[in-house]
Amino acid sequence: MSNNMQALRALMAASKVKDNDAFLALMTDDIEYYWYMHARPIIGKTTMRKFLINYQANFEQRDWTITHALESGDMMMVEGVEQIYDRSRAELINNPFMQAIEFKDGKICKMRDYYDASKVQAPVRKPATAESAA
Amino acid sequence: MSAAPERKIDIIRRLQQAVAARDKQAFLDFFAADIEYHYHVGSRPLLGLAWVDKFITKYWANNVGATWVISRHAETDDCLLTEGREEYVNADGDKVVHPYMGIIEFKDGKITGWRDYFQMNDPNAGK
Repeated sequence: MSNNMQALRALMAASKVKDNDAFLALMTDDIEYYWYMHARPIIGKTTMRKFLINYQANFEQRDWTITHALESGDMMMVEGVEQIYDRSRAELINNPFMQAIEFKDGKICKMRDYYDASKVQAPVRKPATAESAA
Repeated sequence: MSAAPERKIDIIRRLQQAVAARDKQAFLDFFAADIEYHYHVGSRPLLGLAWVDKFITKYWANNVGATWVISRHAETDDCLLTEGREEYVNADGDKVVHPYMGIIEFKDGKITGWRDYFQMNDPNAGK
């Protein structure tokens, strides 16, 4: 197993136990993450940590499987499927995806996720209460 | 001495030329008879050459000005993974941009499997 694949496997293990410190330690400080290709990327670890906390509040990733992976230098291309639980809709979602990951000195510096977001929607907004609407 | 097998990316570069020329027969010649083509993972796959023929006829009739760019790739003897984008103007006159990743599987020089991952309903279409 290549060093970069070991780093990805460690990232998946950290994700499974929701160890955000271990997860972020595998990324460069200037990480650029496109969680969705039609949205602005997340830049930097501080924003990445906020994203993780927000994501975990709304979704629980129950499985993350790699079906194909190829490397070319410090770039890795992956096909896989994740199983995520949408807390607000109480719905289990199978999300097939591909991912392009770029590494620098053994850490992930860029990551781009490709999938159809029609299944993975923004959390259901709670209706505004009189207090919160005030 | 036999020549080195053609790189998978070079096969797809030739396929891109067939697409750019809208040469349907040349395009179909790249596929195995039992091709399983997921033009969009999340939609029903096209099974068999006749279905791909029907699909591409309709697809090409409904868009113009198509550009297909492969920006990165990696390959093995029987598999090619790509990242890139496709742009076109749809039947409503809207410009559509699909950043995508795809996996193409080969057997005996023909494409047997193809899966493209992207957001089908591009939120930026028409903007």
